[in-house]
Amino acid sequence: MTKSKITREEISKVAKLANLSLTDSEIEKFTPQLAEIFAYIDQLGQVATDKVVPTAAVNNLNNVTREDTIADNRVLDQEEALGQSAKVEKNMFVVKAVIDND
Amino acid sequence: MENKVTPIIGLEVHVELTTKSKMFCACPADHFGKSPNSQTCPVCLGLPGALPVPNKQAIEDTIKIGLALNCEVNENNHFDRKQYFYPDLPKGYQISQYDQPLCHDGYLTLDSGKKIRILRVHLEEDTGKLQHTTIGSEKVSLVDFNRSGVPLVEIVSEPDLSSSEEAKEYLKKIHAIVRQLDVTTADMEKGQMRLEPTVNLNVASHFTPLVELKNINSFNFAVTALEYEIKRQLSEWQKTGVEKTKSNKTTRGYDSVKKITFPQRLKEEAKDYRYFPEPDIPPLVIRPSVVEKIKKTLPQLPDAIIAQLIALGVKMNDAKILSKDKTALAALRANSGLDQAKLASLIVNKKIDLAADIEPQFTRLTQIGETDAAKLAPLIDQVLMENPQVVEDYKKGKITVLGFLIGQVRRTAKGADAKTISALLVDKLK
Amino acid sequence: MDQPKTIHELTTDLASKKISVTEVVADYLTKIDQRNGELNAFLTVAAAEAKEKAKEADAVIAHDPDIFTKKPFFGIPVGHKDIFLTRGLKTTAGSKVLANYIPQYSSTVVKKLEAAGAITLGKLNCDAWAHGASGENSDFGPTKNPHNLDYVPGGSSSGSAAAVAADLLPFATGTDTGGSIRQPANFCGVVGLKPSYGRVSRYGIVAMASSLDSIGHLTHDVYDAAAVLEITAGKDPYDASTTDLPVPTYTKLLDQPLPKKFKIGIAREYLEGLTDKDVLSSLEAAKAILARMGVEVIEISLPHTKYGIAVYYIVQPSEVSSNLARYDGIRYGNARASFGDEAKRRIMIGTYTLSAGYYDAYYLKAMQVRTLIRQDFDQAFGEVDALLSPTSPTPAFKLGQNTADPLAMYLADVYTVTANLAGLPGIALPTGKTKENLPLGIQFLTAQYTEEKLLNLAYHFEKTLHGK
Repeated sequence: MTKSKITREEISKVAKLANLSLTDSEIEKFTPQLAEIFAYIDQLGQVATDKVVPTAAVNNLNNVTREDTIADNRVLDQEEALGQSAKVEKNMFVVKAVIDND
Repeated sequence: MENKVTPIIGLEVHVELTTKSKMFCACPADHFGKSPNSQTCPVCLGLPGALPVPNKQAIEDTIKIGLALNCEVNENNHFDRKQYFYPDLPKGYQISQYDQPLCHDGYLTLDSGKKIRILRVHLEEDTGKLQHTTIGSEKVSLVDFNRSGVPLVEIVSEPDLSSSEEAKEYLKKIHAIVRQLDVTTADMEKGQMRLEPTVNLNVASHFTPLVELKNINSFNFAVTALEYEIKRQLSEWQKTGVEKTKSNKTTRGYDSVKKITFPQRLKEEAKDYRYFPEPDIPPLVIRPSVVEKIKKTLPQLPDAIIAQLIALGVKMNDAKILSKDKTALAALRANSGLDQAKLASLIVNKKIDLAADIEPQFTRLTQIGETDAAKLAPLIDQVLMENPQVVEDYKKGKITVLGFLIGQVRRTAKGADAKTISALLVDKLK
Repeated sequence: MDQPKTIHELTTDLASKKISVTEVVADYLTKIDQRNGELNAFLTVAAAEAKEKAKEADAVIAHDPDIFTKKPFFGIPVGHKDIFLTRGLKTTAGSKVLANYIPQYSSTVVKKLEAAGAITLGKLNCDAWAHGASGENSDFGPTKNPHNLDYVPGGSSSGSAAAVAADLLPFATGTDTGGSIRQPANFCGVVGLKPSYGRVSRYGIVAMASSLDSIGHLTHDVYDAAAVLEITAGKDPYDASTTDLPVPTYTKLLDQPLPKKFKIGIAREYLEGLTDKDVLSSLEAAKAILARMGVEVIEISLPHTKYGIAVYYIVQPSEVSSNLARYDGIRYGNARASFGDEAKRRIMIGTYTLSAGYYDAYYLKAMQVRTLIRQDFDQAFGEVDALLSPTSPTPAFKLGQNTADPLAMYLADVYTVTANLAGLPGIALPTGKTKENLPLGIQFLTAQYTEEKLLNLAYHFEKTLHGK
């Protein structure tokens, strides 16, 4: 639980995982800032939490579901679904070719 | 050497549920053949601010699959976010289940009696679909989100299968079960059931590296892909002696034309899905009473049907076919007064029109067939012998007595065709 | 400057035909025209649409004078923090990533307010993606504090607070993930209500941290805070995290006398390290008012308070990193390179805390300490009815003062974040001003889903403060 020493390499790796392409100057800037923040949050290591049940949500709800019905009024028109995209071809969104299964 | 080689095969099967609406929104789930991006909403298109609400039916369907595979149902379970970037994944994460799947620790029994353990059965959402093309000279991919958010059940086996044939049997049984449950049509051609075997070899207690096989869209391809892969791994092992490690699992695609597996390009780095509990969806609590209630709605499963039919004298092959055909099975059971083995065989061989009244058809077919001269001959001989006076009259030219003789034959040969009898009689009386 | 008109005062004037909706809308649009240049509170002003709607509204009033009972906010202008999706009206989240995004749908809260008759005047500036406590993280320039243009208005609901404080709107919506309604309300001297987690639908509001985001509003007085909540609260079938508890008629319960033996707690941990003289004197003034109200104030303990910020800065960036993953520039918006520094920082922190090998040490640990913080509050609310605290450790600070030091900025959330971690309702109330003319205020918190109690207390406090 001591991650206060964050390296540039780790920053680069995390950026890749987060799909962010950081510039060198951004990495330069973020490295000490994140190190300081991690040094601060590392203090949680002092708290005894054995057998403490984690809290993921604070609304005390469970089994909130919907019936299996179609709501046509929520379905977007094709033009509306595609209309905010910079590049559309044959009613599909265009992206750079991805490495795929074939 | 060869006889010490045991394949170790595990299977990951994805089944798209045939619910009316999608998993977390109210868009139609039936996406096959629809115009691209015509069935999306803020939720499944991953628009800002949209939130998922789970489909109750899909949760029940998943529990049904789990129960049919003899699984435990997790009383406390929840959805998690599985995070990775891919253009067909609109939110940058897939809502799935990680540490607490809906169902776990079941098994499926092969005909040999061997039990294949089921590790888990969990519920998640499908991704969009990618197409690859070129625009101008630029290679691009096109994304359609109609499939995004369709409920998908993942069934993961333990690596208990030791041959391609066992794998095929396992897959066919899974297919029959999910169809019998009526939770999916599991149409392989529409991609409603997808298979991902993971295979390696135990060569005299040395283990070859794990390989995950992709793009397999039929049971037969699973067999040929596994067989190819088993041979390939053995020859690779003999050449290199490389053993399985924690990090040398690879993914290979299957080319169904060349019938070979081939390496897929490796992603640049190891995946790190950063699972965490989906904060937009409160946890699920499945009480034992609810599980019991769902259990009561389960139809009889294929293996149980087969066992029951065999007990009634039905042939194994017929029983297997009938276990997958609800209409035919219902017809058989609705006529339990008739000989089940014979009726089953007639139904399987399509001799009986299930839409029409079955009993007269059965009677006609099981008694004397219309052109069954061999069976009619002794009956005709019998009738002629018992009625010498009539025969005499006929021979004297009283042709009308033929009708009487036909009637006599038909008293025993119920359902037999009059014309056939007549022809046979005329022949005999020459 | 005239005294700002509240929603209920405007409704009285409209219903008595003292003014028309057209006049009300035109009046606000003029003020926006005059002051938005220096304040930068509005990012988008929907002037033409608003005027059109005002005209239609006046026509309705002409033949249906009962409309005000059917639609409680009929003809009342509203502005939305620019992370509330408004169909057809640009919504940027304060970020260049969504610089040109025209939403295909409206958020539940926007729809509910429109159904109640409110007229949207425009969209309000905020820290990009609601990340910030000063308004300076907006990619479209900082909002200024209307009381002193050299100072920040607070954030992230910076435009909402500044616009209401400058009387450019009778009320505005906001979101509060770690204090983003209460802190700017405090810096700008308006009332800021953060309802319980799950009380108001999050559907259609750009998600910051899903388990913490709370949807509220900024108003001129407590009555209006109650009136808005009455409309926005309730179960939403599109948001699985909303509670199905019934929504009380908050405005009807406001002036009930406080229950006998009403007790308020001040956490001793909140006072440790509190050095700002203005904030301390504001707290003393609040205690004096409570004494006049006959409310007993006692010291209590919230032992895990000091871990609040650390827990928050794990849970929040983790969820942020996930919620911002959808912005890939494929279906809408610009590419991820358009994220500003603060968003990138939080995405980085959150990606790190969720990654393999660190999840248990960070995210799981934070969720466990979150449990302890919740338990602290449960225990406290066994002893007292409400908690009193400062809203922020200092009054508004100068623009640029904290921008180089993210951690220092984060630490200023100390009094607000724990309410989000525990899902509690909280309200920021103005109490006075500093010598530099900067607003001062306090915060009350009550147990989850007891907004009626919180508003009841705040209403009496406000009345006593104003000597009524």
